[in-house]
Amino acid sequence: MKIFSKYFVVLLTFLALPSHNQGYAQGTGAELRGVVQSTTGETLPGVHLYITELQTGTVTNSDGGYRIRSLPPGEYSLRVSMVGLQTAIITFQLTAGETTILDIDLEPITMQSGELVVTASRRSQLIGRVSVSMNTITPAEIQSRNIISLDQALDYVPGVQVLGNSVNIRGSSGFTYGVGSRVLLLVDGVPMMGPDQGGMDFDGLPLTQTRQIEVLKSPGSALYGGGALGGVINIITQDFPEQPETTLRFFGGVYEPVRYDTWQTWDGASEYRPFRGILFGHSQKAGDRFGFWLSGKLHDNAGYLQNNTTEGLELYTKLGWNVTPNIDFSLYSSARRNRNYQFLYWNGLRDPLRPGEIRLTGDTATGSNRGLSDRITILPVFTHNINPHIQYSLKGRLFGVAFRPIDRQGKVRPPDKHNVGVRYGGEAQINIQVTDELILTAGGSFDENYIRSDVFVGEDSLMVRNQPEGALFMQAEYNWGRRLTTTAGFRYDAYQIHTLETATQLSPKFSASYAANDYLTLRTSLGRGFRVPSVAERFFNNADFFPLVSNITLLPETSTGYEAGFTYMRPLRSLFSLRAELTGFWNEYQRLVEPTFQPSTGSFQFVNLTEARIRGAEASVSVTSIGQNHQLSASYTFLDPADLEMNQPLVYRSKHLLQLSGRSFFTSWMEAGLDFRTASAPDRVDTDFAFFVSDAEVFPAVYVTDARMRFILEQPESRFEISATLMVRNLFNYYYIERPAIFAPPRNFQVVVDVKF
Amino acid sequence: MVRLVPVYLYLITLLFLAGCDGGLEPPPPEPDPVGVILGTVTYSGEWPPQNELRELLFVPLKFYPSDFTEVLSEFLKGNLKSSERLQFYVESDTFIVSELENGLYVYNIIANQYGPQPLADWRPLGVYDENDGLIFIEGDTVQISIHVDFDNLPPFPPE
Repeated sequence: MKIFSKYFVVLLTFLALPSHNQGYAQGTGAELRGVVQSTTGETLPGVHLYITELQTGTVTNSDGGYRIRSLPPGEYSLRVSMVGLQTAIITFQLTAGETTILDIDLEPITMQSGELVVTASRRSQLIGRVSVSMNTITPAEIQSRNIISLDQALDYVPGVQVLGNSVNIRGSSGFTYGVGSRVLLLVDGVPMMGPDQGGMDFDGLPLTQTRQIEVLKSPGSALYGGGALGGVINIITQDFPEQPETTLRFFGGVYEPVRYDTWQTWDGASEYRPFRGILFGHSQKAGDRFGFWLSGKLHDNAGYLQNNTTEGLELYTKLGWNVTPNIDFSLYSSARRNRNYQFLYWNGLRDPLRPGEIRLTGDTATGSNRGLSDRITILPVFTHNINPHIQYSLKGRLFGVAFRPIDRQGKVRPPDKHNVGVRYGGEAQINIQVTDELILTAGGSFDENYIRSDVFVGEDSLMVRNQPEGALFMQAEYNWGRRLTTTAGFRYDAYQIHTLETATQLSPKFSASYAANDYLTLRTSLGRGFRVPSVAERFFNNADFFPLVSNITLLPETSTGYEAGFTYMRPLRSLFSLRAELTGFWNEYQRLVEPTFQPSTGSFQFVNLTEARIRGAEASVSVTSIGQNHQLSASYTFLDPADLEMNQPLVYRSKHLLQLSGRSFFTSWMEAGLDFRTASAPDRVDTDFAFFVSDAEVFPAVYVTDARMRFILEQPESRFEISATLMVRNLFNYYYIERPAIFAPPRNFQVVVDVKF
Repeated sequence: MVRLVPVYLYLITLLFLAGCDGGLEPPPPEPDPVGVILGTVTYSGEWPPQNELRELLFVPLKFYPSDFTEVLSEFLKGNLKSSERLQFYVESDTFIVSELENGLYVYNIIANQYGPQPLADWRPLGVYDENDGLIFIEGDTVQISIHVDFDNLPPFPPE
């Protein structure tokens, strides 16, 4: 508590500080101010500006703005520089008593260095300068690969593996049916984890209105709280364009029947199984101060497995209001309904396309379920720029989920069988540019989870669960000149895990990046992480689908992570740009929560299992032609995931991950792309699972290739663009599993038509 | 652009080689599961002299033989399983017969070669006469007990 008090005093001290330029007299001196942005229109914080003749200068604030006061009139040269961007020297004139506005655009040195990210430090930074491992997924990639759910987007991020509905960044997670994710999902920086399972929803994302998906692969808990033990995925939504923009995307395709007759054990198995959908979006400004976008998705999928159909409708909106030049308000909301069968486990490798059954004493559990799933999200955000150096934001969140099971006759089961969960809360954050070199970020958040379910009964027989949580965080970033940036911060989390018991954790974080030259940036980071078990992990008690018993004594798990690496970006013979990264990481986990078979009850249970260490290295290289017409990229991740108590590998972690991608515009109207990913078979799987489900221990290596060809018709004068894409996923029809006892999609073909105007 | 075509062809070939083993496939058909008999034999009465104890085995049969030539014919065709030789002059003994194919075994006996003729000089000493025989469906393991009363040998051929 003493540490917290000390930081709080420091925070108050900084809040009381006047902005560093406010004490200057106006007099007859001139003033220079403006905004520095990249050529793609993103404002650039941390840019150095220097007036050579006067030997004075400044650094841009978090909005890319700058102001230099009390300058003598005359003609001067302004040197504008930032690592990764081409230095600009601009001549300008100052007149006594007047303000000169000089807005500046900077060009990136290479195609790939101008990319901005916000997740690493909760403010815009060039990706080449961040001190942690990050990757981005652009709208062009989302469109080109017809990505319609988040898991598809993550398939080609280095070091990331999707095991069914569990996301595994650098081996942080095994397989838990998506329960208790160690990767945090955010939309515009707001957590979107399910209040019940603590997992992420791969649908329900506004993909046509996504500006960028950022994947932070280092332990980011100092800024992002409990679920970020293994990393953070942040969906950054679009702002509002100057010109109205409408997007329509139609897609349809089929799954190829499996090639083995012995697997065609149900009627649909010998047929081509269809899927289709439409995505739509419209965005525009309404006057100078308002803007909005609207998007949605309507889809259905017959599924390549028996009892695996899905159909759904999703709607998203974002409204923006520029209340005054310094105050913004936005409201993001979404609603979605899915009517899905969920395939949970197969009937063994002799019959993998049909759900299996588990015969328990006196009852039979089934390997599929069906239900109506509804979700709503409301995220209001208020931002106020008090002055060019101080900005604060207030964010609210309401995230509701409801699941209503459907019985064999197709009827919704009675209300006492429905699961309802609500997460609501808020966050306040302030950014202060204390000096040209020092930026402070601080804030606090509060969330409450409310869950009512007949399966979360637990040993205390209650059906309603609450799990409130709160946190304070603070981070100081200091630029030691142009090349070295250090960041230090902490996060103090408190979670109520029982009515009378609260778990707390102080998670410090430190990171540094050093730009050795214009091309090479060295980085290192270390931090602690913390995750409180989700309600499902603690209270799930049911045998309808799988024998699982609750464990209300489950304790939070913690981690300590270290990382060091470099990013190298440079042009190659004025034709290509190269980006290469090498990272070594070492993460240690305490009280890791894993599902474990308990012979005494004949059931599985989430338990604090062990101390674990996951270390490894990741290398990636990408070469892009200057015109961005051709790109080749490769990444390799080596993992050494060890259970330190049992001295054996952790379950469901692949030791080797390799991803290769290539894309080319062969002509201005035709683009082709090829993606390949492989993951070695895990050294260890949970053989206890196979007590219940036949062949559940089977987990072969993965070799999947996707290919696509896109034809584009563009009319720049009318801003009309139509494209058609032919895609083949799993081109070589390799049969594998993406989670234990579930057969992964066989080869499937699809046609995508995109219209933009 | 044209220069990249060989690169793509090379990549596709590599990927094809990586993915061409096809991954998961149906497991090979399992051989028919085989059954096991674990047995105990007890003896009463006076043992025959040594020269009548040339061989002593437990033999499960799917048919009722009319003479021992039929049994030996099955043995020579490799269709017959038997126990190891049983001990002589003991009160009881145990035996195992494994790798029995599925089916109904109706005539299960302790068989004794009592004379020098390997085709003719055989007789049953004891018969398992419970449950109308032994049935094996999915490679079961069954435990049985047989009693041999040297003073009251079973009839042969069986009635």
